[in-house]
Amino acid sequence: MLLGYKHRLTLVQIVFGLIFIIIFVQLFNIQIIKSKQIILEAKKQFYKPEIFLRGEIRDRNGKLLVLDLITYDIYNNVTDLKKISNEKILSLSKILNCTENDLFKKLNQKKDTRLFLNISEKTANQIKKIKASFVYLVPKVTRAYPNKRLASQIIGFVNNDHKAQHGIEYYHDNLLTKLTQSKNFFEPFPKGTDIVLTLDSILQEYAEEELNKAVKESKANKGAIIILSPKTGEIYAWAVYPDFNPALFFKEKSLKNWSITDIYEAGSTFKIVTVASALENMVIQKDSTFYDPSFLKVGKRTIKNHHKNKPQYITLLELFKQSSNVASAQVALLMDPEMFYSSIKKFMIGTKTNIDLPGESNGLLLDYKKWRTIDLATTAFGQGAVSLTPIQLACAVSSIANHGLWVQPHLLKGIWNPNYEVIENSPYKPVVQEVVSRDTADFVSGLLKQSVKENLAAMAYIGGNVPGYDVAGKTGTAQKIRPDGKGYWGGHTVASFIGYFPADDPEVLALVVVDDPKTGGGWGNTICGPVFNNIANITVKRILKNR
Amino acid sequence: MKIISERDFVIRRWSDFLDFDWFILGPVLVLLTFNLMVLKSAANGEYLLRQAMFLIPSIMFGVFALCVRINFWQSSVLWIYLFNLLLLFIVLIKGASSMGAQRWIDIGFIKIQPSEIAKFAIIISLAAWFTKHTIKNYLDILIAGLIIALPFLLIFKQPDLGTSLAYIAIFLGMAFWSGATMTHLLVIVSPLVSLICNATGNTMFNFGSILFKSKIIELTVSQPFLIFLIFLLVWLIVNYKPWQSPWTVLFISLLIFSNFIIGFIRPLLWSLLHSYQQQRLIIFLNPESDPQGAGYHIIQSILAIGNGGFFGYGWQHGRLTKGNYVPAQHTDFIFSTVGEEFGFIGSSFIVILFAVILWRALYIAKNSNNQFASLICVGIFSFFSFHIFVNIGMTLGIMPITGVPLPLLSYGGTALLIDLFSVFMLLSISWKTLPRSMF
Repeated sequence: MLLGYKHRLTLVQIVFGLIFIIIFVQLFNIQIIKSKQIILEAKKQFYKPEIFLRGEIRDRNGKLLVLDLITYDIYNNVTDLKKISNEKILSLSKILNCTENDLFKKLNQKKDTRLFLNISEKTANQIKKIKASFVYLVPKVTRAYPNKRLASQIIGFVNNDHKAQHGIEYYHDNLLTKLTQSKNFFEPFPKGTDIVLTLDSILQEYAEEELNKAVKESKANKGAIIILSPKTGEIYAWAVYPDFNPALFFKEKSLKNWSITDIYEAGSTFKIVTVASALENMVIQKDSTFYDPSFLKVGKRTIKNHHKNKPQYITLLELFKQSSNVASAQVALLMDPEMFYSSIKKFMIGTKTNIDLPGESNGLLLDYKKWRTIDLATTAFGQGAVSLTPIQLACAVSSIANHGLWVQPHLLKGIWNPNYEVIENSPYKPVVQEVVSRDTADFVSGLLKQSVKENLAAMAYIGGNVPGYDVAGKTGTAQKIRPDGKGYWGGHTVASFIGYFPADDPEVLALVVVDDPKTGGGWGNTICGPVFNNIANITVKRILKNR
Repeated sequence: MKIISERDFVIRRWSDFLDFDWFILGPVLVLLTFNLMVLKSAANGEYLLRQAMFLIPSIMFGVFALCVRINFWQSSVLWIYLFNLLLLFIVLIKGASSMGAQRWIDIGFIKIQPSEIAKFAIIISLAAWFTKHTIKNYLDILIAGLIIALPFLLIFKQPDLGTSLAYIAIFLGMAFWSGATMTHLLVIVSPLVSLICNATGNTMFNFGSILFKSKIIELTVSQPFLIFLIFLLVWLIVNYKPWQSPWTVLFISLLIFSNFIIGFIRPLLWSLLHSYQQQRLIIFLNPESDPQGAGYHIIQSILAIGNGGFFGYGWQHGRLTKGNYVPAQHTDFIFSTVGEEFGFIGSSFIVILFAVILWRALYIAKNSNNQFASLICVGIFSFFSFHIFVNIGMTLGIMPITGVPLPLLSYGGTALLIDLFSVFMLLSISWKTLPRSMF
């Protein structure tokens, strides 16, 4: 034995003592030193709020577009009506603004029946104060739309279970429901993140008004106005007809934002893409001229201009100015299908623009292997192998406006922190890619600017008249395809006008599309031109002068 | 050493009834009260009635321990040992399973857990052995080790890691009491320490990897492992003075070598463990790695205890325990209920009560005039202190989860019976073998 009996005991006692000291230290550590922090952690586990509020949606100037409101329903909690004091019933009836008799009748119903609907938070607090235990309050949340129908197609709506169904609400649902933890963690009704859109609600309101007027006056089916910044891809306004009332979405017939889900044939506005592609592929020069006898035979089919003209030699400027189908067909026929196809593809036509809205359509771009010669010719003026959504066209043309750079369109401008400061200006970086060279883009812009100028002077154009600014633009009047898909539908058109300004360094691009107008010959110029002018003038005030 | 004296179990005066060792009986009564109170609160009081029912036979057995002469245990030790082995074999062959382990024998109205009874059997057996054979060398330790080897393996097979470790704790404590030196104990536990050391810390040397049972296993030597090996070497050199005898040189080098090998092949042994055992050890090192899964027990337990703060939430008002956030709150994690409802004050009170009992057990062991009785006290001391430290440490996050119940507080019939039996053994020994002046 190396250690004596006594030493042995001492050693055991020391080990034993150490063990207890360790336990005490840890107990002290957990229950006293770290206690506050642990209590907080534990509280998080109990925290199960009955209602989660979605974040608010505001426009670029901070104006509220959508918010969540809490209202209360009052339920009956009476088991024996005789036991309740009359004074309390009297005071409750005063708060609820009804007669005592009415209240008595209601309280006489079965337990747990709903007595009153949608009581405001203020009234609810008064009821809580008088401690009327014979009723109980159940909070619920409603999505409120202070501007009613404004931008309904963009914002979307929530269903009766408060789940996002459409539009921005749906696309940015994760963001809107993401709790801002630091501030809201122990609140009874935690709120999601507030977001800011690129929309300008005043401009949006005007655009919707103008669109409604134009569509109704021309007895058209549907229409859309997209106003965006070619430089940043921010969408300033986006009016869609038909729209809906988001608060009463269940009564609406159509909730679809056709301008991203439906495709149409672009018509003459597509000539911008054709000419830019041809210049970029160097099959034509800037000073090329074309013989235009007002018709062109391609195989068995004949291509005609909208307005019959005498045989003439025309330049690219005249091509845009007269909107010559024959000349643009000749331009396209100089390219082979693969070349033209890949150029169109570069303009992000036939692919999603990945705008932050749900349900976007790819558009339709037929594979070049299936193109016949006639398809190549008709595609040149937007009636052949290509169908697209209005937002795709707007972005394709905006890349010409933006000196050849295509910018991803987007609606989310930033998110707010709880103190209402924008903390993140661009939650995601929009994709930017070069579509055509700066030289080509600027040359085409110059042509469009010049053609608008000369057409306005010749009183041939209505659209593009924005005092103080040079506008580059193009009308479009596309023939509609028959609903059964067999050939074109005579007398039915899609009228459009696309334009941007100031033409030399564009800040704003606007596209006006009206589907199937029945007046004014259905021309892009007559239907959409005035609308463009009106909204452009407001855009100048709202966007350009507000900088 | 033969039995010198034992007071006869004769009550001469009524006051003899009160002649117990109140340092033991007092804390035990308080703990039992706590036990019933906490079980009323934990798991919504579901287990209170059953525990109260278990209490009655347990106390009867305790009184039996009080009545029986101590040398009765010494004379019947062989039967107790064999009976215990029989029970363990029955568990192995025809035991009732629950939660992946086969630990119980179902005898109709009640399930008994022989591994708990085995603790007492082992204490008695080792005490009887060590009374006759003190430890002088490794051979003595090895022979005594054979006594616990069979029960240990049977329980390890169930599997019940916590209980089998308790046997080792009991063995080490009693061996130390009957002559084993620190060096002896260090050598015995060194393989285990090697295993643990090579599992932690930074890698110092990497010897490549091998394929074992279609798993890639890396062979490394870690920093703590190297430090431990050096420490062991120095300790052995200082204690054995190897320059005096060539045999000790051989012994030391063999020992160091085998330790190195064991630590080295740790990953192989690791892959032999059950996946839940592996996970528990991983979780002990880092509970946050799986907060909703395997780390949940530890996190919730710490949250509950911390949530109690200084004064606690009050009896039956624990929020985490009442909300059923803490799992196994009536058995292994009963201390978290105590911590949350009675706060720092209550839990330190409980810890102090345990400390008093343990201190008193040592006191009796030291002053008892009966070697056998003294060894029983040490066995019970080791058993209790292992359970208390591992269980409370586990709820506080400073010990791995090993499924060891807290004596006298956790719900469990057989455990309560053995705990009370052990406590009454202590009472009996102090009553019968301590001079009256020592009370």
